[in-house]
Amino acid sequence: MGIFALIIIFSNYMIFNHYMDTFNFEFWGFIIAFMTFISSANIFSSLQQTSSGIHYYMTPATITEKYAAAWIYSSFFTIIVYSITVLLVHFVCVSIGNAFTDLNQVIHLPSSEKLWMGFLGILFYHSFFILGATIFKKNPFLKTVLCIILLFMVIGAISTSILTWYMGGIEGMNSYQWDIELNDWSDFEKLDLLMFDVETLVNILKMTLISIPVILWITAYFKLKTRQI
Amino acid sequence: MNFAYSKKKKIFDDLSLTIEGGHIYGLLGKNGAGKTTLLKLMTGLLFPQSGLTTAFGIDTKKRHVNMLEEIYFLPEEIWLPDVNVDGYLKMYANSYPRFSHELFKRCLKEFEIDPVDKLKRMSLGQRKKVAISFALATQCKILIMDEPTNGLDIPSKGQFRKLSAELIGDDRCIILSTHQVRDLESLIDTVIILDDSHILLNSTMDEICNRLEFKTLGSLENQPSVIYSEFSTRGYLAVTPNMDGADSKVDLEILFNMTTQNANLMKQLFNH
Repeated sequence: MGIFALIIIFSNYMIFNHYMDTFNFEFWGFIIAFMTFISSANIFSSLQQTSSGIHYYMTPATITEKYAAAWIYSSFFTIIVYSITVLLVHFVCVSIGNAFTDLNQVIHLPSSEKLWMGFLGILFYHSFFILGATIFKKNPFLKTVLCIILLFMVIGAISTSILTWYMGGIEGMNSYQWDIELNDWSDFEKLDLLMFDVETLVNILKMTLISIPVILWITAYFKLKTRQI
Repeated sequence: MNFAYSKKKKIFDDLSLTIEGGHIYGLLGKNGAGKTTLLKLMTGLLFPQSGLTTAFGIDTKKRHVNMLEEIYFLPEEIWLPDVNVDGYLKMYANSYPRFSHELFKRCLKEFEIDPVDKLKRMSLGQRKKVAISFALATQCKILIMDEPTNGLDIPSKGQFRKLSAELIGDDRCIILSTHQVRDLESLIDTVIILDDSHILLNSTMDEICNRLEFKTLGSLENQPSVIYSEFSTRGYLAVTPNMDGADSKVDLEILFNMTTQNANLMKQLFNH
């Protein structure tokens, strides 16, 4: 945590000409997410070695308790700890800046909506990494990242194929008007492509985005339950 | 039950074994015979392909808390966290309902371990002593130890035997898997010999003594009753059927070699 705090100070705040009251949410959000994913991918690191794996499974607790502890630690705990570190450092830097310079800075925190979306985004990917932790014995983080990339490539290819088929091939796609500016979900209606209304499409997408992590978390639980040492 | 790591080689083929309280079992077998695999199957760390392994009537595959509270498995290579002995106790002792802090302290004292020391800074032997002390102090009904004397110095082996023997009660059992038969010869009261995916021998020391006589002979001439012998500097270490109820000390090394080399004869002798 200390090292993490120092990195924040030296990389972002101790530069004199930097606007200290600007909180770079995207950058630090990415760092918090990255640390959470590393933590998630290595949460079952004790299973990588036979001796520690035996110790883990033989400790008297149910698999549900062990999984819940790992889940909470790798998601909520890690996110909260890293977020507090970032915010504390930001607070300290702004305070020091105000004390030693003429600048009168104020602490700008990201909006609650932004924070909530960021949190949900981290949880979505957390499910991939916790599943990777139960599947891969060595380098679970890198292997999970590769799997995610591959998965999105496959989803992209399938989606393109379906869309191409739906629109009657490449020639059919070319016949559509593509110069519509898409600012909102309702703009999709202008494309006149959908079999159903936009609201249904949004609901399907929401359900998919909710069900994917839930399925992955449940799969990770059963992988942990049935894993042999 | 049946178990195999791959389709080509079966580790256990229709293996059946019952472990009872009040005994200290010695599990013997050649390298790769499946001793550790059997221990893992007993504790639910591995699942049999067919058949069932149960402990206290619970399928070990389920890894039920009630079962885990009563089985302690000390593997050959131990894992301990990066804390001191007291920290380790705070982390794990409460998980075992009958954990005895007094017994743990006594074991540490016998093994001359300072509880303030960090576990990671200890030598392999010292860490093994802490792990053995913890295992004994859990007072679990089934205590399974894989090569417990590996890494222990000579006095500690004696202390280990003494503490283990003290702990055994009618409702508890200890299973010791080992190659160091000399270290544990005086502790074991039941011998299980594994070989070629089967149990070749599962007998108490008393039963072995009743059926076999272990003696040292100067020569094998005119000794038609000898069923197995090995040459040593002291003469021939020989085994004969115990026809006249003679009292002899079981030589586990000789017994093991004899059993693995004459499996059919041992089956006849022990009616297995």
